Amino acid sequence: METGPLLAIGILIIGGYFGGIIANKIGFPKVSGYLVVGILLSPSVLNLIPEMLINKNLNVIIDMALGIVAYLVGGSFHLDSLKKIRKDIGWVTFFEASSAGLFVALLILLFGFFPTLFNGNREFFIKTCIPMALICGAISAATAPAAVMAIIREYKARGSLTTTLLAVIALDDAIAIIFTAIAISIAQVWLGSMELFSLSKMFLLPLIYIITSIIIGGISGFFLINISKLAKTKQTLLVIVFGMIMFCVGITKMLNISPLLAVMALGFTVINKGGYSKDMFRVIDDIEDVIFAVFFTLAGAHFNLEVMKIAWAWGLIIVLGRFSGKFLGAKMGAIVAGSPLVVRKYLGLGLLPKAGVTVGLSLLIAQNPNFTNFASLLVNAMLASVIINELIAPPLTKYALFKAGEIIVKSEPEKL
Amino acid sequence: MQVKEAMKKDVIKVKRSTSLKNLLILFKDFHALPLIPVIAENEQLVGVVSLDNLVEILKSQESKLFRNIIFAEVDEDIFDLERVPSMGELILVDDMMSANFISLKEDTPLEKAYSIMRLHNKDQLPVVDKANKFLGIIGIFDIIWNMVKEKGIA
Repeated sequence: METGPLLAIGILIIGGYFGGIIANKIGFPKVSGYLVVGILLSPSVLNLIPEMLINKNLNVIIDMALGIVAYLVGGSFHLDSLKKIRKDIGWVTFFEASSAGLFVALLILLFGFFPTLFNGNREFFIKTCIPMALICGAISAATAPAAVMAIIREYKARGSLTTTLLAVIALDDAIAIIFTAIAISIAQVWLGSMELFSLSKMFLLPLIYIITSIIIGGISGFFLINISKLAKTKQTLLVIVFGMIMFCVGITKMLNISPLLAVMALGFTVINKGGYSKDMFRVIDDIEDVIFAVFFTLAGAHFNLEVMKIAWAWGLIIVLGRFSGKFLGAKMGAIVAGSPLVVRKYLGLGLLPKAGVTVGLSLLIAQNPNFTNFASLLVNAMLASVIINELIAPPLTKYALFKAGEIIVKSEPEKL
Repeated sequence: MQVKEAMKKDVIKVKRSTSLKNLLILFKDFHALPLIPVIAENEQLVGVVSLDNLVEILKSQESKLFRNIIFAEVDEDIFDLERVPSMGELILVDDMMSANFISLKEDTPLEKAYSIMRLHNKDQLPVVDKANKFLGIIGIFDIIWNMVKEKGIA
């Protein structure tokens, strides 16, 4: 007798449900609970979910969940609302996100290059380190809203650091998704064209991938807006919205271009060109919790003790690179944009939490057939970095808000 | 039958400049908050205030920023928040109303009105004429009432 995919999904959802509840009770975001339960269910610990399912048969869930994430992120780009955002937020976000990426990428390159001096194994460096550096760097731009939000609410923080922090986080995930989509395109071309390497191909091909993905998403968006008018109830609207997201993900995967960008373009078109388009996002609310629960628990189940023996060091490097990148980048951005002094000094510390999007994007990469030689290392390194991060980052955010004088009431956090 | 024959014409209206406090007092004896039309000069309908808007304005600024962000886990309880008494005067209808709302034209058939309400999950909608002049409010109950009367049930 073997655990089938549906039994696995059932176990993941029910286990995740309890994980989420316990995490909330002890003051962590639900996502952390899902991840921990996933780790417990993984082949390396309780071995309740077979490895075959985790690495292969349940991949469709990853595509489904990330499709929904990308659609919602695309939908958060409502142009009229974006115009109202303060100008310095744009600069700060750009600087902190790109410098986090840059620092992580450089550290990974350095860390990977060092051993080649002794063993001369250049292949590992070229085929694993370079694409990993690109991809991990891109993913590192993301910041988890839940942890920051929880701290702000617990301590009733308010002030210019708090508002800047919230606005920057709101843009961070979208930037991480765009960066990652671009990094995947470049890494794919890098690994695929090792023999006939040329600089123009290196940048032209990814550019074509990216533009084609966006065009497919945009056209699907207009199509969705028009056919959604036939829907008579909220339930039928969900049918067509969900169908269109899956269509977009599927067709871009078939063409081996970027599902993330296509679905983001779909969400972007719907929110900006559709009439009462908010309904087209609200319908997703009804299903997102269950999909995210199975998704993140499944993500945790990718935990592999063997791989983790090497991956923890990579995770540590990612954390280090990301911390220094976010900290210095936020400082630089705030100076360039002329933000207030508290923002310059403490914003970087507030931007350190990460979880959901980070893990999500690393799973997407792991199931890409071009990246199989480092898939498990990447996912486990990211898992390690999330776990390390989960322990260090929230206290630092708290410290930043406290030092900035924006936590006024110094009370014990209320336990829910 | 068209919505203009079934809608309620005698409706309490507010202006953009009405304060939150005055709005609350106007409706304190109602047993449920109805959809409130916001009217400019020359009777133009410029917005609506619903129970959702009222709940929203009582929430914190932070949770508003996070409404569109995934994994934010914003599950705010309105009893948890600190609020100052002066917000009654400081918040105006203009700050809380939905300016981008769905309205029905006076000649919309009742069947169509009902399906629009179901699609958008609304139980009341404002009715306007071609020049966007406010005429009344129609709710699902008005539609049901007309239907049962026609069939002789009530």
